[in-house]
Amino acid sequence: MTLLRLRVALLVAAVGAQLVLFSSAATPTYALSNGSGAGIGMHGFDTCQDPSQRTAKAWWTNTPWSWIGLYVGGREMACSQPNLSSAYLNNLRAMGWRFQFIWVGPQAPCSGFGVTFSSNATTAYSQGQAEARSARSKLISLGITNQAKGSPLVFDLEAFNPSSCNALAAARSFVKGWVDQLHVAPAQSAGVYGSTCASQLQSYAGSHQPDFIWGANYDGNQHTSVMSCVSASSWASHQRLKQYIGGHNETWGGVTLNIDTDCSNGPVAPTGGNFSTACS
Amino acid sequence: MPGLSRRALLAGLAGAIAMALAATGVVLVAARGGGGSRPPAPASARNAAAAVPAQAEAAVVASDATQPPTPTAAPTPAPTPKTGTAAVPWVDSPGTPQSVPVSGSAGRACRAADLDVAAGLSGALQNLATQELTLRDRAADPCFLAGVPQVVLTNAGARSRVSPGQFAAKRLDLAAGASASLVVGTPTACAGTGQPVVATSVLLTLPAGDAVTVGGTQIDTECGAPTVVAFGVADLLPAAAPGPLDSLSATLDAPQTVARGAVLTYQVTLANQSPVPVALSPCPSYTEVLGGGGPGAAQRTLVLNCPAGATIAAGASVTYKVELAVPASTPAGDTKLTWTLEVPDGPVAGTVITVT
Repeated sequence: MTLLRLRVALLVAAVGAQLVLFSSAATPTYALSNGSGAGIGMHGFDTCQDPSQRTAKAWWTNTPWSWIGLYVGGREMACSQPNLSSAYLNNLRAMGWRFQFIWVGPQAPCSGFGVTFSSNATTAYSQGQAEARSARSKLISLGITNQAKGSPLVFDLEAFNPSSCNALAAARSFVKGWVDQLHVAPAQSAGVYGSTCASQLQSYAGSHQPDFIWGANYDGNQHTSVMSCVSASSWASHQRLKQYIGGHNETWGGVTLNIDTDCSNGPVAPTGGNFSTACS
Repeated sequence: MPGLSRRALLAGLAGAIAMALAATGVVLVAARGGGGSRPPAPASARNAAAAVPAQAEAAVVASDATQPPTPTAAPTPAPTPKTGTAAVPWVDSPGTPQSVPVSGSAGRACRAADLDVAAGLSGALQNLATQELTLRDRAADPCFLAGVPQVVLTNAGARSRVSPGQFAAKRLDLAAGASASLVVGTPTACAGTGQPVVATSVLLTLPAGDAVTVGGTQIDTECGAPTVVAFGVADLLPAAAPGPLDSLSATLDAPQTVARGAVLTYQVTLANQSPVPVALSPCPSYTEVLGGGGPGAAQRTLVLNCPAGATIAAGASVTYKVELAVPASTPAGDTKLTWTLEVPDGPVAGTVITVT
């Protein structure tokens, strides 16, 4: 057989057969930056109803944000979450998104919200523990691996009047319960979200303090070091996220969402890595 | 070898490898036709890896997840077959981005008769106590709300009218069976009398003018007027028509850092999660972007390196090696790397990397 005939024969074989490509599915390796320079890697957003996969895709491709605050549960969660599932998280993660998981449980006593924790500090502590257990279970049910070890988890504590119904002492105790329970092995990273002033975030510093805070302070300043009512010396080691612009409409990739804008200099799922500089 | 180009020779050798694989039990299936032409050979001088023709390279990466891969003897000078480790190189062939899906697909306004409206969750948001209302399109076709419906509390006196907030003109398209979420918020803290003024029902008037009453609400206006604080739908974008590549997922493996002015090399794995083979025919395009949401992003769209008639078997995957030049002008710091298969509802893989 001449070389030409060989060539033709082999090409016919190649064209006449459909080659099936297959390999064992590789475990994806995600590169998580530790944020060594100014950039966009730590900017994020949150919205009442967790965005659909199509929206998340459009926004990953077109926005400067790399993480989403996702509401995962709690009796005071404002919006239903039809998109939320294990597959949803996996797909968003494959897109590149990171997450901050938000739990909206009972609020401070006499705060006017529908479900509140007790004004009795001892009871409030137990309720904080119970919420932590429920939230952690939710993460595990959503497929967060390794018993959600190390995963950040934020309790959403809305504004309240600290001088009524023993609310401040109760809130401190509730937060301690939340933190202590999340620190039970395999521990999670315990966070508290709230208005930097009206949710009394500074009051939770000290022993049993949250690992990080996510402060709502709508001053338009992305730097987490600048938070009204929170001492610069508290949560000073990559332990802060800041919601610095409140609810507003933004359109990216042809999709409009009503969002809060956030910056993270603290842990973000899935690995709890710290990010710095642009949001510090 | 005089009279025989390297490209043609290697293409022919790929056929030999394919036949050898068939002889050793590795799956080969009959071609289905319908395109599947191989992309042009790489033209870029820097694309040294892509000098190996697609068919030959595809044979190199073929392996069986259930059986030990069988090394295949390849005549000199073909590359020595390896199993499961090499990736399919990229080819420098311009691709075609698909049009971006847009919301606003419904052809008619929603009427009250189209909607199941119900009280949803009571909660807390933006320091407000909230009441969710869900509006489900029970009609057989999509409809849209040109703005948030007017909400009036039925027993809240002077504070009965709910401000539309930022949503007066926000159009929502509801697919058949889909639900919108409308959240009304009221202040919780005030020097009030401690006498709650709770609305247990509301009247929704749609932009088209018809109205529906909803019971089961808990909206307390003692401390202030109500406002719509959220108005959205679970999926703002229309679903794409089902396509043959719908079952593919993509994952990305990239370095954590890349230097400005360097060539970023990374891998994308396409996995077929369905129980049937997926033919890469016609060969799809993909877009890679370094940057996000702003000017200066490095971006290009190329055709995937599809072996002629290639198929990804059920439950199998194939890994592609891709490259992207990082402009020297790229700002240092963290940025997004995104790889998108340019098919409707196609997979996207991304990560954050640091440009140094």
